[in-house]
Amino acid sequence: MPTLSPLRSLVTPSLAAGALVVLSASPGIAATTVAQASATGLELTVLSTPTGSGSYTATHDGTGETTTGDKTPLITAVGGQSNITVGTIAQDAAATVGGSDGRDGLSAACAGLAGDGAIVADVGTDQFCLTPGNNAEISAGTLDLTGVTVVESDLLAGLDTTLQTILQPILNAVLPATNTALQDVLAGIDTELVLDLGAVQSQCTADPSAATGDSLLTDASLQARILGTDTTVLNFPSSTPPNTKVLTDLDVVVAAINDALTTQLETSLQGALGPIGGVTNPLISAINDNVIAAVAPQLAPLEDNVLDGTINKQSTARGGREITVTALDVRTLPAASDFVDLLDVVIGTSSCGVNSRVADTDDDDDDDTVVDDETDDDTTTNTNDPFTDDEPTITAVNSGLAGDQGPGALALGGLAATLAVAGGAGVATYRRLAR
Amino acid sequence: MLARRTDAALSGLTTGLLVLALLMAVAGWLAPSSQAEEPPATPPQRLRLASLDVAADVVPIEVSPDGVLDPPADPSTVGWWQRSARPGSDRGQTVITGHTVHTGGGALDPVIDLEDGGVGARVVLTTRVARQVYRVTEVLDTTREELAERSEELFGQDGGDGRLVLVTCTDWNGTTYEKNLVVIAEQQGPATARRRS
Repeated sequence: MPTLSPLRSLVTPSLAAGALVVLSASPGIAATTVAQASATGLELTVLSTPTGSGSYTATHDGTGETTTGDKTPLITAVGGQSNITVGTIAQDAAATVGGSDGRDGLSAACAGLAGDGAIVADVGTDQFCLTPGNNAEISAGTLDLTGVTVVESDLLAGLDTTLQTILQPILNAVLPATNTALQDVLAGIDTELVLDLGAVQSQCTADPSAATGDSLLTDASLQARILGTDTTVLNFPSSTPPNTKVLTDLDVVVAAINDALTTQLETSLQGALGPIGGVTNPLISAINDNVIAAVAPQLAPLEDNVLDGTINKQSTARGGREITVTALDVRTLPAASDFVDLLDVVIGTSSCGVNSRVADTDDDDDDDTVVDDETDDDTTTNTNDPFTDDEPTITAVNSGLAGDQGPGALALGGLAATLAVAGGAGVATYRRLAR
Repeated sequence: MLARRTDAALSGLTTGLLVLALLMAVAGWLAPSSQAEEPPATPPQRLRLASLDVAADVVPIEVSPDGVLDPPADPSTVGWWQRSARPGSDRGQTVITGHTVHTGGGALDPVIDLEDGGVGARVVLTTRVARQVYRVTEVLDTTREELAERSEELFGQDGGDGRLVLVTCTDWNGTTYEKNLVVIAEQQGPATARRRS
């Protein structure tokens, strides 16, 4: 059930007030964009192939709002992927004019992803637009461990040679099968990385002087689903400062793989080595240790940073008058490419600004012919960049320097020293001549 | 003996310079420029704020695409935003900015002193052909956010009467400057032509 946001509720009166100004001054106003915003709910890049929900954009040229795109695209619209199949995408943007004199370009956007049953609200000032329902799941990849190998000779490394000699006939029969079983175990450890999300969203607003934004993650985590059981790898914080990095190593996954290997091996070896009696347990333990020792270095990339994540990713431009906020950006690092497909998940990107003011009609007292030409030109080029105007705007002045950029103390010291030497030489010369 | 000779030489030189200065002044008074019309508005070349002993060359600068105005890299000079009004213009605003350097050496280091009773201070901009006098009417201490909000008021060229807007930085926090100091100065009469030597 959509709710009416504050910005929306302001749109009608603002538009009315703006329209009065605009209509009374229509000959003097070029069709320049004065407010703009856009929203993108979900972008996925799977094996370098991008797909996504598309974008919803809103622009205002001082006379009216123009929108493009779909506010609530279906998950099925995100084609060419099977990483997410159920969920609710929201992407909304609005642009209007308002402020004290009705000439400020104002814009807002909100974008995000939630599960089924989420409530989507219209975009509003400093407001998020998604209320979570069920959680959405995005598969961030399935771990492929088939490349992990254990050399048969490694299995008995470090074992007492006398014991090996005694057990050789049995081991000769058991080890090949054990090694095969190991590979089967590794291949059978079905481990999937899953982004489990209540709601992940961003919002932004802009006026002619500034743009701001924020992100909100509700009940969001990364799970490792190992043999059907979820293990939490990382709980994403709900609200963070801009550009908070999350480093996601999978040591918990490695530990789970090791546990699974140990269990599987014990079962397998207990049956094969049962007749040996009392030496069975130490032997199995030793073989297990050897297996883990052989597997561990191969899984090392998983214990480094596998997923690179940024929460509340923000970038600004035009002196802070334009902002892009992404609620969550998670990508697989190339180091993990041996185990998972490279994937980039970008959820909830909202962009606002750069906005400006509707032209001041008091200053547009030139003749109408020139104004009409400007209008035609702008319609053709559809420019929305104030910097294409004759007068760029100054929004910041960087006129302070730390001392190291000033004239060097060293140089001044050198000058003083030179003068001192010259002065001394002068005095010496004078004395010599005076004799 | 040598000292006596040196004293005499210096005395002669001083007297000569004084006589020359007097002659030049009298000549200038007796033969003033007959040109009554205002000189053309051309880019500023020199800034002088005598009460603070500020004197700096002015070079044209441009705003970056993201709206940032950087003074010249040489902190002993100041920059004139080349899209802003030229001295003597009756529209727009002449925007000039220069560095304040934490450890000294910035062209506008002393300008901070205008915060305390600086209203009324005399500022002179000199162009190739003219000289424009201003009087400080306002000294603003603004955060960067406030500066951005007041961008049109302080730097816009649509309105205005040719006033001078002089910007530097203030409020050093040990690492960076947190604020801008904005000095507003109004033109005092029309620009006057510079005498050719």
